[in-house]
Amino acid sequence: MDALALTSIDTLLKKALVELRSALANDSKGLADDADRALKVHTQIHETTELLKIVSTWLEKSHPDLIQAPCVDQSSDDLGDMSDEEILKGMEDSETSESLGSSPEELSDEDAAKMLAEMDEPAAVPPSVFEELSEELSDDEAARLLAEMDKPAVATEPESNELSDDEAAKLLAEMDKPAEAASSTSEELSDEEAARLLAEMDEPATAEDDANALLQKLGGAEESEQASKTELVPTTSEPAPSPVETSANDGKNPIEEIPEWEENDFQTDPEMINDFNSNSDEIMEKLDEMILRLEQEPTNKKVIEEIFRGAHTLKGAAGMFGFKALERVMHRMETLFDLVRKDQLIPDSNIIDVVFDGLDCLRTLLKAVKDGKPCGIPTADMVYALELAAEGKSFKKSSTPTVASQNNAEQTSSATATPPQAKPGASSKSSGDEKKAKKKEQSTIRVDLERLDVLVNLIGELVIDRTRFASIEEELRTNYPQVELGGSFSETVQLFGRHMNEIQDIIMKVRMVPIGNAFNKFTRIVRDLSRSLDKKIDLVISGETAELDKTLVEQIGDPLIHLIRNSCDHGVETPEIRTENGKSPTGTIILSAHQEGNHIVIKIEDDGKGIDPDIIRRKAIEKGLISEESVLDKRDILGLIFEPGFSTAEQVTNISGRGVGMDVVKKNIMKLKGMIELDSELGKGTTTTIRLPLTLAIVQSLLVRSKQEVFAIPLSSVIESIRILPEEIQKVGDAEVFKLRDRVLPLVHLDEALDLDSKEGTYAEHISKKKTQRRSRSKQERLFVVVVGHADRPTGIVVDQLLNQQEMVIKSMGGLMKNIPCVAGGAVLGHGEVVLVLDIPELEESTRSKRQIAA
Amino acid sequence: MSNFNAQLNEHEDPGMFSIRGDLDGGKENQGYSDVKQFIGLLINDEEFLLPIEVMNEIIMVSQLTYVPSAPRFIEGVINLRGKILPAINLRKMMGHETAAPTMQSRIIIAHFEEHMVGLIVDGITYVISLNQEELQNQTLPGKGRSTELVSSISKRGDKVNGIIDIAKIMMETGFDPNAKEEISENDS
Repeated sequence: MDALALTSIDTLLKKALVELRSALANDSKGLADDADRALKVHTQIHETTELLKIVSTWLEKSHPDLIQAPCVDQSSDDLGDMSDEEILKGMEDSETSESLGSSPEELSDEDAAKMLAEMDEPAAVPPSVFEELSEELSDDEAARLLAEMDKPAVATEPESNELSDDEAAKLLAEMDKPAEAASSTSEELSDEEAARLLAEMDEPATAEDDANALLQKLGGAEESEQASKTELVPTTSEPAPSPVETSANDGKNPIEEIPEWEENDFQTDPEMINDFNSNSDEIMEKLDEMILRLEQEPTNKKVIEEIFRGAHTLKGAAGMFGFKALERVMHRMETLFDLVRKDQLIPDSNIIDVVFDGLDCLRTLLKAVKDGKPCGIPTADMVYALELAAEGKSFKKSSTPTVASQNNAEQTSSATATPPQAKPGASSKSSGDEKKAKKKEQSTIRVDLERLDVLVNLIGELVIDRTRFASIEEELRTNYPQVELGGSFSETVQLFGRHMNEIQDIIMKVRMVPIGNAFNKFTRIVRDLSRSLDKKIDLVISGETAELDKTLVEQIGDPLIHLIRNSCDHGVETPEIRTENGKSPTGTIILSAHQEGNHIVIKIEDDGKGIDPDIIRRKAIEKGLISEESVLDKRDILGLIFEPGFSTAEQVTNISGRGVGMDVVKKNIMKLKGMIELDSELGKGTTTTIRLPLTLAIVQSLLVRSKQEVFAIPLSSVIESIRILPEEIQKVGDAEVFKLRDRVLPLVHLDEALDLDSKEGTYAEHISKKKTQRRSRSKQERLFVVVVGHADRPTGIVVDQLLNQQEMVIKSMGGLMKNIPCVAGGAVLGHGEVVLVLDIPELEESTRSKRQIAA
Repeated sequence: MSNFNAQLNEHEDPGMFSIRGDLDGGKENQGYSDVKQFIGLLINDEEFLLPIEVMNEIIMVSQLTYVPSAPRFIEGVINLRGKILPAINLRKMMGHETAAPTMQSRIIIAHFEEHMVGLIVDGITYVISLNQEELQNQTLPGKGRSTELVSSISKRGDKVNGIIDIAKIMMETGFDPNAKEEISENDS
């Protein structure tokens, strides 16, 4: 008996088993570092291989005619192959490592069987050797070895439960058998009696057969393992990835389509779905932003970690809700991010493009979730593209499976032309800003906007109550000064009033969100556009912290997209032309926001070619918008761009140029009670300025009286108010004008414009008469004129009296009243009275048209 | 009719609104299912009925803001706890002259689908329960506008009253139910 060989077998086996066990323990804790684990499995495999080689040489030496030798060789070869495979791949995945972890496990079990067989052989030929062997191995050694082998084998069982589905079942079945074999032998061995061992070893054939069968089985398992590994090239360190997906897909063939949704109880819970939707929106937005940053700084660990987290969360949620297609695409993307995270993949432009395509695809799928029914778009191509990208291969897409990104299709072709280091578009924010934003995010909660509106309304009611209290208090104070409680009542009312003011202030701010939310997506848009247009454009964003009403932030997005697209397409020139013109080849678009009083001013500036007023003029004449001889200043000409159907683009592209854009932009801005203006200098660039009120809900208004009726004029359209003498009014034909400083101001009498005399004899008149609210109207010496409208073209509105200025909530007056001319809505004043809020642009318009009809 | 007036005169406190009449009518007729309740209202001294399910509440005539260039039967807008509602004068809609509000004048807050309106009436009489047999779907061949709002008639006992159809009132105002989208836009 070769004692040396036996001891080396013993030590190697022990070492391998201890390591194997610790590796498995680590694995079950989910703490194992992938690289470490990979290394461990490697060494284990090597050690086992060595062990097997020693065993085989020993066996060959002593009993060259035995059939075990080829078996051992085969198994050692297999193991060698496996470790080679490992080295080649150079990567590790929990799934594979788990199964690999179990295969050496089985092998060592098998070793035990083989060792038994081994022990048997010497027993058959030289009994003395057998005596030696049994002395050395039979008792504690053999028992311990077998017990050790047995334990890890059992330990793998609960883990393999995590490997769901058929693969797990297969593994389990495979593992069961060696475990059984081992346990049966160990039972017989654990008696610690050599006699029993001897009896057992009398029948070597069974053990041999066992070993053979096991080897064959393992060989098969390895084959399948390797086959599945080729599919599994993009692997993850997911604690429990679902092997169904990966094993279901064949690496060579295009991926099969899977049902988009799987019926699930969570899907029918509207609250859960709502949560899912809002969460996914947030994550998608963040992913967009972060992936852009990743392109800028591919080595930033924080960014990739953030992306990975977001992707993982979304995938998990999608899986829970049974949105299978969503989960699958997300899973692949996560895999990709994981490779990036481990520095195994460098996120160049091509990969980022694929990822963005994937995001678009996800967005479509998410939209389907929101709509409540599957949209049925194919996801297999996307999954395949992501897989290939993860392998670092280039890909050819048959079609873009998304609706949202028609630009991206082109982008792919241009992507190859653009070197990866050229990163057009997208300026990153300073880290200080980011930190601030992060801090802010953490301290927010989500509130249903509807509830907030109810709250705003209730507080409005409370404000009305307060004014009633105040009037009661006043009456009490003046008429019953002797009432003792009066003093403390007054105090309470005052305090109440003060608190109410504070509450009102805060509740108005609650609806405000930073405009940055609307700006963030533009980085992506500019990036995509600059690539598809082959231009180099930098987008600089500033003032994103300016706050605006939430509804405004939501609605300003579309007009801004249009304007930014215009700047990219028509504004910024190609790098060649820019260099010719002595500009830097990279164009700049500045998107900025700042607050000006009650307005927020959003500016989009580009340093492109600008707009030639002559071309606009010519086009306008061509289209019959203006006549040949009309004299217009530059501002008027540029204003023509906002006319419906106006486009100067020589050719229509998919980005802009159909001439339906700018008038829609203007309409949208007007709907938000904002103003838009365009200024341009030929060759230098174009600036578009949008002015928006801070909030739609609360409007500062000036209350005026005309013919006993009170009206509110939004302060946003008031330029100034002046007092004039009736004789200062001059007449030009039918129109009345007033010379204000060096301008002629057309005047509109509010009572005439609204035909307030029609009130005579109405129910409302009767009521106000009854209430004797009518004040004796003294002959008015002076007239009040409220100058309203655009600073360049003001109109004077003549009223009887200016009352005061106050914040009010403009409310709709219901479906029946929406077509009342010149009235934008109603507002409830402190004492419960309704005032009408005037629609100044409409008022100006109506007087103008009236004048035209008259003329 | 004189009976109502006597009752109305008895009712001295205008600040309170009380419902008189056969509230227990449903019991008499057993089975609630085929019993419908109506509110009686006065327009130009004539009693009309309005299905109670379209009515939300009845308020006093207090403040009313005149809206220039609104349809002539819309007297203005009222504030109902922060909500601004148009007030339709049923008198005018039925072609009568505007009368000054009296102590008996009320505004019925009614709704058609999700749209709420105030209906100015000269007075409220009582709540009445009618069996299906006591109702008759009938449009009237009247020449005046006063019959245009009536879609059915109650024929309980020897008393005959027109039942006002809220849908017809809304139609009269030129309300377009298809214009809902814009309304919601305005609301936001």
